Amino acid sequence: MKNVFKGINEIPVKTWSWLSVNDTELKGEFPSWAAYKENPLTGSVPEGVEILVMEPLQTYFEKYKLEPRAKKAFQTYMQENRNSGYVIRITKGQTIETPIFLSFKLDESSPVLVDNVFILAEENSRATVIIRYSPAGSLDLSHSGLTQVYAQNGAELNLIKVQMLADQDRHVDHVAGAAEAKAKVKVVLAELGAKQSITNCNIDLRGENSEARIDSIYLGDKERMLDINYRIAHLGKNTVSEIHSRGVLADRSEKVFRGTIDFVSGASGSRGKEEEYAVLFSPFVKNVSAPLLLCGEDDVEGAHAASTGKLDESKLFYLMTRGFSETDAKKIILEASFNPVLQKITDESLKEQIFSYIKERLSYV
Amino acid sequence: MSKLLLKVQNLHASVEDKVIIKGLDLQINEGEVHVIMGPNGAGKSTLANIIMGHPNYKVTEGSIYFEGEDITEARTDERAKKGLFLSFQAPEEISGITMENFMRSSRAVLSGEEVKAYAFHKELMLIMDELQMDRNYAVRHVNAGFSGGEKKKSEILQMLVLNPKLAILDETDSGLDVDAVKTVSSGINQFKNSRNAILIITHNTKILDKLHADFVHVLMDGKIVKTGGTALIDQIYETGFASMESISGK
Repeated sequence: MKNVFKGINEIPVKTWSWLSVNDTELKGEFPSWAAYKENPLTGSVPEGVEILVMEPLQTYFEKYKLEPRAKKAFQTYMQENRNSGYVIRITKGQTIETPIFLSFKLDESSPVLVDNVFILAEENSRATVIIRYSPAGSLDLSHSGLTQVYAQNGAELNLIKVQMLADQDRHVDHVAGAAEAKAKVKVVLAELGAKQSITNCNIDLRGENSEARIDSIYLGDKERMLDINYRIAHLGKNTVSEIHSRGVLADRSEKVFRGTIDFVSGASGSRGKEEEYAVLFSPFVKNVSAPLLLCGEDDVEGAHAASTGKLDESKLFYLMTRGFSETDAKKIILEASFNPVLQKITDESLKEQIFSYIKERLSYV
Repeated sequence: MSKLLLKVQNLHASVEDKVIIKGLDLQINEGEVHVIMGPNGAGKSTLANIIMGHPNYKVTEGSIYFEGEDITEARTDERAKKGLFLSFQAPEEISGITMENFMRSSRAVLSGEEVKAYAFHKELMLIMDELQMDRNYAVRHVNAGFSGGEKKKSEILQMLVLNPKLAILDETDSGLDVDAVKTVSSGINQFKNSRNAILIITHNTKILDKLHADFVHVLMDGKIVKTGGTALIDQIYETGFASMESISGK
């Protein structure tokens, strides 16, 4: 079988291979199948939500006539190798106030997680789903995940994914989404840990007046590697998209960011913009950004930008004159950079966990 | 007898091999207000930054003592914890943290004690009212989008909230309109007491109309060339800094 962890995170339009942005691969082998014994579901299932465990997805897709967008080979691999699978269905017209929380813990008894989560927001429903990946202990833990979201006409789905793995862990994560007419898909991604983190988020705006946002933060330190690939494709007319990513790179960490707004022919009247901003805490980091705007349609508005800034020493000094230690001052600067994205995480306890996780990482920077 | 707070002794300092401070002596006691004046490029702001331990400046000779303790090598945050404060000429914007949270966290790290949110909020509102600052600034991000005058008020607000032993005000009055100068002066008067001290670095003396200075120093070419009372200010206005060049010592 083809190794699905090679040639992944492909850029939509290939460029010179020496730029090393065309695709990536997971270093080393992804471990073979092992049982995942934890129960990630926290809290009770709210009214208006149906959660199915290890449901055969193909049957489900056929039942709802869905075509979630994910690379076929990866989708097949995930379905065949998943050791944790959930279908979350938000029923038509329901507004679910409390977020649905899946907390995946990886530990000695469950060192490998292959999760396949499918979220269906039926017509005019609203909900927030939070998925967190965190480790217990310092083992060699591996995670590969595929989260698919499908927002039917007029639905609004917020997906928040937070990855807080440890230095030696691996993380390969795909989000694939689609929005029908007037639907909104908003994804918040926090990529904070793991030795190698390969993440992909791909959303199709299929219906007219649909909207999608990807807000992400990433943190690289030590010799960790981050490979990011986001794409929002405008297929329907008058669709709106935004990709907004903020990162901090320290020590000898490496990052490749690909962000694509793809205006497909027929998506007239659509608007899309993307922005990535990286703060470099060290001169030894490797920071590559490839923001792309693809225009197959004339009647569109698109904007893209990627910028990089060094750690502002004047800000650091200002904060230290107010009594903050260098680590705390860096944390404040980092939080200030991350804050526009973190504000979108409504779960205060999760936000606190993110802050302490960042602080712990920064104490070594 | 009032206690000696700051003692700068034979200070020599440079930035990127350029010598800026060339043998500077200064003593500030509790209850005193000192003013440093001098032409552009004399080293006034550099002195403020060195006293606070800016990492870009290198002390090549001499020492800085605070309350008898040698702080020449101390980190900036350690100096702040000992009671030193700098009001910046160009305060930094820190988006992502509100003024109130920033000052509350700052007070907590400076005092090493927990600062209760409600009590702090009440105190802050009172101080803001006295400074005639719009209360909404408390929920705005630190200096983000503030006008020049608002930034300077924000520095004075921080000084009042953090209550340091020695406040160094670097060009706090520059770029302020008449009303803002009054507000800043009244804030400084509110802060001033017999247990703390103020070092004002300035180009003009509007700020001193409502504030009594005990000592006026003239800093030129990295040295204090003259020290006197407020009469020295009139002399500077009459004859300019150039006339001080040949004079040395107190």
